[in-house]
Amino acid sequence: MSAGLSVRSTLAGKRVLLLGATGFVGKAWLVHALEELPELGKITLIVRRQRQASGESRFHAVLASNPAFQGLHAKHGAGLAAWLAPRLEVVEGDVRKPGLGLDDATRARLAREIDVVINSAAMIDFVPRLDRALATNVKGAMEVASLTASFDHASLLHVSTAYVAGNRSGTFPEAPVEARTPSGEPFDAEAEAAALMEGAMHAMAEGGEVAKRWILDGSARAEKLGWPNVYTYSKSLAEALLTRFAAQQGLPMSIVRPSIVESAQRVPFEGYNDGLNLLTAMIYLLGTWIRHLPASPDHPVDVVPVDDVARAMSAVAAALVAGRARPVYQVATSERNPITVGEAFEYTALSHRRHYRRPDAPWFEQEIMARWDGITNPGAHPLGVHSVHRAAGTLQGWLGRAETKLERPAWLSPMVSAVKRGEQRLSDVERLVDLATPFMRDNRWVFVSRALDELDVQEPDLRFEPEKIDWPRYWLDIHMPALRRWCFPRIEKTDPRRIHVTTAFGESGS
Amino acid sequence: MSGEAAFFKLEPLLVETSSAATAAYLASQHAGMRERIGRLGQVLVSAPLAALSRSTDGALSNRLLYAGLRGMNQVRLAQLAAEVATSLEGRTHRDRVALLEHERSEGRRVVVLSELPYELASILTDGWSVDHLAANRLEMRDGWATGKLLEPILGGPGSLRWLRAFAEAHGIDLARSCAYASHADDGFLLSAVGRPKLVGASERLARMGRNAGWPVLDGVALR
Repeated sequence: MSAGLSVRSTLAGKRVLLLGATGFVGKAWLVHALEELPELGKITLIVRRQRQASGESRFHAVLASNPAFQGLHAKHGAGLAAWLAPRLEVVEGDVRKPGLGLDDATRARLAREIDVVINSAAMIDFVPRLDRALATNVKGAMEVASLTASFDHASLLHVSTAYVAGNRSGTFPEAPVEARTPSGEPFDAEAEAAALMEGAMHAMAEGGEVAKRWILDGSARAEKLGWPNVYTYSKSLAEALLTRFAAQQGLPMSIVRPSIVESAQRVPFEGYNDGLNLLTAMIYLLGTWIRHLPASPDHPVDVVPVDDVARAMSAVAAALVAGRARPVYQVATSERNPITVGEAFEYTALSHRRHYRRPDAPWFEQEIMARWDGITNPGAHPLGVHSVHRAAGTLQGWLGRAETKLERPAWLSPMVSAVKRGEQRLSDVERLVDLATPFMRDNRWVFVSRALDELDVQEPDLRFEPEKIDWPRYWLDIHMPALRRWCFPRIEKTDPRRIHVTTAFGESGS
Repeated sequence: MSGEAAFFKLEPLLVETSSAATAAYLASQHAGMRERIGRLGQVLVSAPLAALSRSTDGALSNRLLYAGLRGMNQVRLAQLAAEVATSLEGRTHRDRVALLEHERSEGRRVVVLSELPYELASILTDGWSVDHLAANRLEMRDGWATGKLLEPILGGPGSLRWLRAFAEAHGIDLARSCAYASHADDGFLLSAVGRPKLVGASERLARMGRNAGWPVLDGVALR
C-alpha cells in the first residue's frame, strides 16, 4: 500500500503557473489555493490581453468585481492588494502564441522557478469557430506543453473534460484516449490535427465563404467521427497529442477530466457559480413554458461541484510534485454517487415550484407556473420545443400567406412580427436543446473516478469524496439558488445564440 | 412519567383535514399532467370504496387512497408536505393543541395518532408537546414511492391494534389513560381507554358518546 499524500506539505513552497485564471474553475482553484493552501509558493497567472486591456488589468478587473473573490475582499478589505502581492503575480501571455508570447527574461525566470503548470485555459463554446477551438484547445495546449517541457523541473497538469469519451454509452476508465474515434474507427489524432491546422490556415487566408464552409464542415466532421460537438472533439485531439508529446519528451504530465462543473459547495463560498453553460440553459428552460425536453430519466447526469474539481487539481499537482501521479484523473460522480436525469429534472421542478410559490409572486405564477413541471421525454412530445417550433413555423407560413392575400393590412403586421420573433427564438432554443440532447438523452455515460483515492490524501478537507454529496440538498439548497442568483439573470439578458457550453472551465471564447 | 398516556387523533381533532383530502391533493401534485390526472383519478375512483371500508377496515381505506402516490419522489413528497402544512396553519385548533401540554404537565405520555403521511404529520406537530407520533409511512424504493404503506397501517381497527401494541410495549395502563377525538371514525380510540373525551364532536360521535356515557369537553359540533 502506498503512503498517503499530504497535499499541503508536498506543495509547501512550490510555485504554480496557472493558465485560465479568469475562467470559472480557474477562479475557483485560485481562491481555493489562496485560502486553503497557504503554504503554497507564489502563484503566477498567465492572462492574455483583450483589446485595450492588458492581462494584468484584466485580472485586476476580475479580482475587483467577480463574486469569487468577495470572501477575500471581506477578509482583507483595503489590504487585499498588499496581502496578495507576495502570493500572486500576473504575467501577460497568450496560449495561442509560440512560447505563450512571453519575453525571454520572463520565460527564463519561470523556467527556474515553476514546479507545476496548470493549464485550464480553453475555448469553452460547444459551437465555436473551429479555427478558434483549434488555436486554444489544441495548438494552445501544445504550446503550454512545449513551454513546460522547456522549464527546468516543471510538471504539467492539463485540464480536459470527461466527455472526450464521445457519443457512446458505457463506463469510461481513467485511461488515455485511444487511437480510435468514439464510433470505433481507427483514428490518427496527429494526422487529424495537422490536417485541420493546415486547413484552417488556408481557409482563413481565403476568408469569406471558403472560411465559413470550412468551419461548418469541421463541425459536421466532429459529429460524424462521434463527438457530441467541436469542444469535446478538440479536447480529445489535444489529449492525444499531449500524451504522445509528454512520453517523447519525458514530461511529467497528468490530465484531469472533470465532468459537468457546477456550483461550489464551500469554496469560494456555498453556491458560487460563474458559468453560463448548456445545463444551466436547460434548467432555465425547465422553468418556462417549454418544459418538455428530450431526456432519458434513468441516465446519470454527471455533475461535480467546482470546489471539488479545484481540490482534485491540487491533489494531482501534489502527486506530480511527489512523482506519483497517474496519467489521467477523472473528477466525476456518475460511478460513485450518481444523480439521474430524472432526479435532476425532479429537483429542478421542485426548485422552480418553490420560486413560483413565493409569497410575493403573482397569482399566475403561484397557481399555474408553479405546477408546470419539467418532464423527461425520451421521444417527441407535442409540447416539446421541436413540435412547438414546427407549429410556430406553420403559423408563420399561414400569416405570411394571409398577409399577401389581404395586401398587408395594418392590423395583421404586429401579429406577423410577433410570430416571426417567437419562431426565431424557438429556433435558437431548439438549437440549444439539440446541443444538450447527447447529454440528457442519447448517451449513458459513467465515468470511473477512483484514481484520486489511490493518492490517499491525508487532509480530510482536501479529499474528493463524491459519496458525501447529498444530491437533493445540493440541488435544491445550493445549486438552484446559485443559478437563480448568478446565472439566470445573465441568460435573460443574453441572446441564446451566445450561450456557451461549459464542461470544463477556462477563458471565455470572446 | 406515569404508566398513563393521553392519546390524540391529529385529524380532524387538532387540524381540520383528512387523509382522503390529503391523498387527493398530493396525488394531484405529481410531476406531469398525465401523472396528475391519472393518480388523482385513481384516488377519486377508490374514494367511495375507501369511505365504505373506513369503519370496518381503515387500513384498506388508506391503502386505496395512498396508492395514488405511487411514483412520487421522496423529496417532492417532503416539499408538498411542507406546503400543505403551511396551508393548514389557519385550520389548526390551537386551543385543543394546548390540551397536549396540559396532559403532559399531568405526567401523562402524549401520543398523537394520524392517518396522514408521516412527512406531513411530523411537520404539523413540530413544536407541540408530543412524546410519540404515529402516522402512516409510505414505502420508498430508491427515493420513489411505491404506492404501498408500511406496516402498521393506521386507520380504524388498525389504529386500535397499534394502540394496544404500543401500550403493551411501553407499560401503558389503558384503563387509566385518556383519549381525545372528535369524529365518529375515531370512536375506536375512545373505546380503548378508560377516560375517553369528546372534543368538538360530530353529531354521530356525540350520539355515540351519549350512549356510552363519555364526557364531552364542549358541545360544539365541528360540522
